[in-house]
Amino acid sequence: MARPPGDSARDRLNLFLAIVPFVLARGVTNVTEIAAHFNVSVDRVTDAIIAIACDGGAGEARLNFDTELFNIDWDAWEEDQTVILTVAEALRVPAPFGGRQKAMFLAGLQLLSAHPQYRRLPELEPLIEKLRASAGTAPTEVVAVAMDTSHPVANAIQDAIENGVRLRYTYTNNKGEHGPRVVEPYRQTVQNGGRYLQAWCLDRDGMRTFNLDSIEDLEVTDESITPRAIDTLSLSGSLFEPHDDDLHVTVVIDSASSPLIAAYRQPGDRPDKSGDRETVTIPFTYADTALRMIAVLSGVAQITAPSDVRAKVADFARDALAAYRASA
Amino acid sequence: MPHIDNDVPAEERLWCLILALVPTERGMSKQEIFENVRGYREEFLNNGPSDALNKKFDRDKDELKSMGIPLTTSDTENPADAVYSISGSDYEAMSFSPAEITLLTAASAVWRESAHSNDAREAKMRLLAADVSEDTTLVANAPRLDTHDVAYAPLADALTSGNDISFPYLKPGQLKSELRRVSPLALASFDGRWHLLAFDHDRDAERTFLLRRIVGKIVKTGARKVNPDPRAGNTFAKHLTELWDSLTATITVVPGTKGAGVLANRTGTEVDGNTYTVHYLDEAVFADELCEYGAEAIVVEPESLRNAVIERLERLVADHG
Repeated sequence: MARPPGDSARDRLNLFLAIVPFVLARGVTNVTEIAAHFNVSVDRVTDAIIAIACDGGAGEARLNFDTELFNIDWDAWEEDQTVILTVAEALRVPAPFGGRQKAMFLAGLQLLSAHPQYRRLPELEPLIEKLRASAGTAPTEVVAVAMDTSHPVANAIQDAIENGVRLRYTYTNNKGEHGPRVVEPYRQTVQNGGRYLQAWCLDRDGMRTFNLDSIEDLEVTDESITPRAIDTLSLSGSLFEPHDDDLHVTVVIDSASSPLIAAYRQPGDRPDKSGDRETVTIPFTYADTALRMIAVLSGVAQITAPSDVRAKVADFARDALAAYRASA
Repeated sequence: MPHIDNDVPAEERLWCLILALVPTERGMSKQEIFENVRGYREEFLNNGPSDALNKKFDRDKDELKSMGIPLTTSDTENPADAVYSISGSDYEAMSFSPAEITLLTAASAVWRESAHSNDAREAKMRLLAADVSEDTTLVANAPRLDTHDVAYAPLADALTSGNDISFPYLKPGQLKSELRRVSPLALASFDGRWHLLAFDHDRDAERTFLLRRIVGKIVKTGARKVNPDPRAGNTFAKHLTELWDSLTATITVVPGTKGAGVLANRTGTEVDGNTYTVHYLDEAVFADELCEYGAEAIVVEPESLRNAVIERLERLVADHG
């Protein structure tokens, strides 16, 4: 039976393992508090408490083993789902991190250390050393993040995020529109070969994603950002959201190469396969974005419709060739 | 006759396996586990030892190990004699201060929307279990690293599990993909793109691959023949940085255009009026990228890069004319 992401058997087991040290630390707690702390449903916590208390009984998880490992105060539980561990003979601390997690932490700490806000924390370097030492000879540092720590725009933005102040800059969007923006920065992301800023745009009154490459004349202000009820951790990283008035562009590509356009495609679209080629329709807000997508895929993919977009691609390439001839 | 409860959910079977192995100094043999542990004993009593039961146990064992549970198998000549145990002191070996937990939480927030989101979620639960109040701004401000490349997750998995792999690779500048058989050695994000360092068995040498150009299924082909250095990732990232520093092109730009802006912001670009000196990592990849800017950015030199861009533009005209 398939369960949704975040609710696999492994996720549930992790919850069992996490609840024990948490309940021990709190002494007395209840199902609602545990559910809120771990951001899971009350039902899952209830299942977990029952599994911990019942399987922890003597001879339950394992026949002929007559020591009780876990038990709870059942009266308090029956009364109002208060959780008190009366017996906890094992697994009293959080579970140790696995190799993949250590690798993830090390690469994540490496990215953080590219930013002054984190680099200056005295705990950072010793923590990296501690994780390294615990890994022994296991290849935990096979994932690395090389960051340009001298990127002036990225550094100024991270300072503004740390200090909670607004930014002013000139921005050129995908449509080629150029203009001043005032934004309240929340987070930087690195994706698809570029750096992006997720910020509240005061001019558009909404969250927007800005490509750092298209930011000019950046100014860090001393105006504080407006407190806003945004769960900044839940911001979506998605760059493409479909709209009704999108332009639908038909692209033909070798089936073997189709992953190259995966980032532009909509979930659930159905490519039309013929031989080793496939045809797919992709929505774009601006023709210019479609043109730039296809230009980097010269020879690998072609736009077949609409004909005006197709002609635009040819004209764009002809203009460039003319510029090359002129520069010879 | 013990109570037979046929429908034990997987999480409870794994939980009972941990509870059975933790308190034992000596460990338990597979036979003892099948006879005694809830989740196995029901099936064992009904059907006896079966391939299915053995496979289930092997999967469970691997699952617990991959979660970081210190499950060990004794070293015996005959695998049937092996005993399995979980050392309580290994389980408790590492502890973290509240400040360290905050940093680890920020480090896993980096990966929240990535192929490591499962690892990040699992890590987060363990960090929450410690019940310390963390500095939320440090966590919220953490930059994010996305791994939209579909190849990322299976590669990270092959790297940590120590497997050789094969995959179809569309080499930059070529139009058809080719099957590559490699030992993966390291993954590095450079210039916002993910790169794989691997030992290519057909070429008998190390090669660098761009993840977005791995255009098909990554297949595990057996145990890794060439092993990575434990810190191969850092060495690889350093190598990419040096390569980037060493390769430059002279490019004339049209001021005020997207191409001019992007190339000016690129790491290491030197601007001299409308003439830029721009760094790159791979000629074919950079030629593809420059096509996006069309007449906004014209390569003066090197000649090979200039010709590569012209060839691509001519093909665009031919394909769309």
